Amino acid sequence: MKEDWGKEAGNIIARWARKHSLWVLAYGTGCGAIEIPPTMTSRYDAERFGITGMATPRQADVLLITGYLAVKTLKRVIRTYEQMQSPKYVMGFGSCTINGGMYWDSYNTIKRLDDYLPVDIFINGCMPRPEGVIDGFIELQKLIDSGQANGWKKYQDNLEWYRTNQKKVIKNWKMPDYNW
Amino acid sequence: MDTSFNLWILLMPFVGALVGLTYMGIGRRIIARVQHRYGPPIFQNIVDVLKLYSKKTAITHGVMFHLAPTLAITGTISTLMFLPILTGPHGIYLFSFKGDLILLMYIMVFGCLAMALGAGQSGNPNSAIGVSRGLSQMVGYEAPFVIAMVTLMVQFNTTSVHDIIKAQDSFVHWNMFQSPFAFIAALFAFLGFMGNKPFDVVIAPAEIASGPPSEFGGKYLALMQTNRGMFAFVKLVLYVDLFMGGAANFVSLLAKTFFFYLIPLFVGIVNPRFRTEQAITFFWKWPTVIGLLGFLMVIL
Amino acid sequence: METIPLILLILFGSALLSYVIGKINFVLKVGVALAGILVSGYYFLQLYGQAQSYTFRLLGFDIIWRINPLSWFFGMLIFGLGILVAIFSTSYMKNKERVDFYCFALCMTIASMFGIVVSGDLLSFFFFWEIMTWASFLMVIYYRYEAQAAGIKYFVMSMIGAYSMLIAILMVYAQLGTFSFDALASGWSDFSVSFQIALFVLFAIGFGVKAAVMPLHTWAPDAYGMSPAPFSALFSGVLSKMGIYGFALLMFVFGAGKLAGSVTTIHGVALPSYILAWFGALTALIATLIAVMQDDAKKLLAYSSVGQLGYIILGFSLNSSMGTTAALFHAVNHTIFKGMLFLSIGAVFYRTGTRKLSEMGGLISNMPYTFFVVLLGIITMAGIPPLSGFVGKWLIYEALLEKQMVLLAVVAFMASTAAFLYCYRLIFTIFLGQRPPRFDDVKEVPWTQRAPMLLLSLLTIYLGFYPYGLLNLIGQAESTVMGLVPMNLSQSILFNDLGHVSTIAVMNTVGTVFVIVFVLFNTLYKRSRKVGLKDIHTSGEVPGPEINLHYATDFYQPFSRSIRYVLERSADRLYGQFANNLEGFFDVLRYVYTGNAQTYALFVIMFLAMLLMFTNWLI
Repeated sequence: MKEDWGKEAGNIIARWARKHSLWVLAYGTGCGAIEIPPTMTSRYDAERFGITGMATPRQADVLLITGYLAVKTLKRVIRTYEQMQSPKYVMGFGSCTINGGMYWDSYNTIKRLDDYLPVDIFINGCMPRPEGVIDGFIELQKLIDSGQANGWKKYQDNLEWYRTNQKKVIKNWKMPDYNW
Repeated sequence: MDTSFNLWILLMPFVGALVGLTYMGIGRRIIARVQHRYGPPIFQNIVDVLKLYSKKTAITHGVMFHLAPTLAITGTISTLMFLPILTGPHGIYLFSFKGDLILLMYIMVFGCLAMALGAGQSGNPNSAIGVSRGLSQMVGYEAPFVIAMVTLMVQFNTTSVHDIIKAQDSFVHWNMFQSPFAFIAALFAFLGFMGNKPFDVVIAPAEIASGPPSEFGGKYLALMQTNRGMFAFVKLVLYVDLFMGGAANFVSLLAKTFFFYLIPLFVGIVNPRFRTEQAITFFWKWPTVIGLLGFLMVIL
Repeated sequence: METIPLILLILFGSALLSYVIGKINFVLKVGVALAGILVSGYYFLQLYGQAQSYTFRLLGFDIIWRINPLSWFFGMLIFGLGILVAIFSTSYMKNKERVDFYCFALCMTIASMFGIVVSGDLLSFFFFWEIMTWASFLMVIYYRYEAQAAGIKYFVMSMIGAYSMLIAILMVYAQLGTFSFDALASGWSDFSVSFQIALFVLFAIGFGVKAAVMPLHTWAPDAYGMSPAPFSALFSGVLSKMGIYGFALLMFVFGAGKLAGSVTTIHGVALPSYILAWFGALTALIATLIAVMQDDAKKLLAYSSVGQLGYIILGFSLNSSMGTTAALFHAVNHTIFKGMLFLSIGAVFYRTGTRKLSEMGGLISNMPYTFFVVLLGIITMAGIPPLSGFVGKWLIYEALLEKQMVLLAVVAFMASTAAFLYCYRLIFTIFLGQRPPRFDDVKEVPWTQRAPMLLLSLLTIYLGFYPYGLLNLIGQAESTVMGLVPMNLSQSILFNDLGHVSTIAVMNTVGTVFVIVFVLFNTLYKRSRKVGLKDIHTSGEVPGPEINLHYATDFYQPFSRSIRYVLERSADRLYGQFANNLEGFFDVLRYVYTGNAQTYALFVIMFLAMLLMFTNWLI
């Protein structure tokens, strides 16, 4: 009983801290990257929610994928995601990450990011405005608070399934093994 | 050796880290206001550190990588232990009677060296570049710093921090007024110490991906951020002791340290970044000349 | 039999013996040399605290060999490092060519160094000095042709030193009619001031060459770099200390310290000593800056050695008890950490076959013991507490501040800061960072090499914790031989009028904090996941084995740009120009001395003809 209480308190603090400190690695893959600077700077100032940009995946919590993913890019994104430390979250940005968007017919882009990486939250729009991005972050905070942002656990549990999907599109799969 | 002494030894590292991190939060807030932003809450840096402590996984590249944050924080806490925090009848002296200024100047490097070694083992070329820049820049700002320190030591004919504090018994005797040239030289060195804007080529996130700590994550980064806050506090207290005659209570300590914290912050807000060799030659020019003027004042 | 001649006999004997019977097999020659050094080391230990002297007449001169606390102090360095180097050599020199030659030169060098410290008169001092130069020269040219230039440079510079010392010795003899140190010590005050200064300068040049003071240092990097690794340790650790011993004799036994009474003084130091202090300080600074730019590990250490010796000379030239204590303490420190570093660089060379910093990397997992030794070595070298390097640095700064020598103190501080740069470069480029694939199978060195290095690193930890035993020893030497009032000593704290440091408190604090943080950190979190060296942030790219991610070439490029004014100038080049000009002059002479036998025959005939003419004319 007592141990549970300590653990619970720790969990509450941890969730609160995670929620209020989101370090973002913005992977500017597509045109959506242009929306990130205004989100971070004076006009919309995401920093007031504790959202800051980070330079390397080792330090970051949120992988923000801004737009379509070519197969070549997908490989790098997977690598980057696996280098991040859990708990970690993925945000899909724009309709390209949801269903391919205007790249539906493209021969070398993927359509659903969800098949390859565990996306915690999607922001729809082509492209979403900074308000939308901030709204997405706030939704993510709510998910973290309620303990629902468990994409990293899903990836861990279903690694086989994700790997199969990933290897299906990435032909020259030469990556280090990912062990937890 | 009473209880309060033991208590402060246990508490001081935490107080130092909290104060340092809060100052950084306030700093972020001030920068935000200058840029017409709202800015994060002032406890943002503490929240960040808590979050990093709550990370569930971490990777290591080897022994030095694993030990580096521990050693760095060891160096910082040891420095803190040999620093008089508060003076006067209710002073917090810790072990500061067992060391002097030269010890402080050298033991401060212990943590930096450990960090550099850890960054080296991470195998990331960016880290190595960052360390190379950092060490080069250190030789730069060490020139005015050493000149200022030697001036103080020769002026009062002592190397003990306590005696230097004692010599500044009243407001007008503060070293910042008594030996202004040494103070200015030391202030320039302080800009380099704090690694704020004109001299932040070491971590330069946009070019070398935050440099030395770029491979550290999770619990390691948590320790390193704590260390950063504590080290900022140590440097601030050292400068307060040397140039403002120490502090008699916590309110004046906070006021004085915050004054010192603001200087590099304001300089940083309005300045772009120096290249490494520009920084070195900058430090070797005017600050050094001003420091040498201070020498003349002491000798004549 | 008296102990001092016995030790000398054993050492010289084992040198000859190992050379002669060394032709038989490897174990025998190394065994003889090692046994000789060990046995003489045992006899030497028994000399502790004794004041023996042994006098005999040779060719009408009195030869005095004696032992006193100062010579025991330096003897301790010789045998301490000598034995470890000999043990290291047993496995290092295995399967190398000309081991008998190596053993011979090693024993000869140790013997002659011991001869120097026990000499009580200038004649035997000079005699042993020359044997030392010659024996170490043999070691420099061990790798025959590639070492030729280094060997010649070493020999020429040594000659300059030796001649200047010889002139000084003969001047003393002409004045006093005897070679003994005691006579010189009592007779020094009667010399005229200009004579005193002349002696000071001549002796300083003589000793300065061995101690590698700045304009006379050019031989050191090449000679240290060229000789076999264990011997480089001895070279830098002990052989250069003979120059320091010379300075100790000059300042305090011969009586150059008394110059203060008769010439202008600055900060209470005689002008010649003050100039010497500046030579020392600038040597420390400039050599350090040059060391930062070296790519050859041994040359880096060699320049750093030159710099550290500059500190020691700076300490001596202050002519105070504090300064001398600092110098002697730093001398011990330097012996220890240069021993550690040269031996470990030797160990790395033994396994990888390269000394180029830019070619190595990531060896920490292959050679963890060597890494540990180098780590402690650079912490000591940089003077970071809690290891013993800090004690030496602290004493030097206190000595400088005590004399109010502000500019010298600043230069010394700066040199010490710049030393961090090469310290880090040394350890990073060899042991940290990415490992080139060809070194994947490198193994740790055998125990005969590990043990000496680890012993030395234990010593630096011990001295950092408790330097007072050694300081007592130095105090003894100062009070009995050097005529100084030793520093006030306590058993738990370093102190003087200016400030104090409790080394025990420092060591305890650092140790306790580290243990607490380490235990907390490792129990509260589960083990981290170990990843490969190439698993780094490279913007998502997976670097293949062929991609070099080790940043080691031009490590301090921005720094080199800001100190280019120093790097552009070089004493070596200056001497080179001087030599070129001389060569031009000799080219003119060559019109006369053509090297052709016929020309010479013509000269002889012309000379005879002229002689005939003149004799005819005379008669």
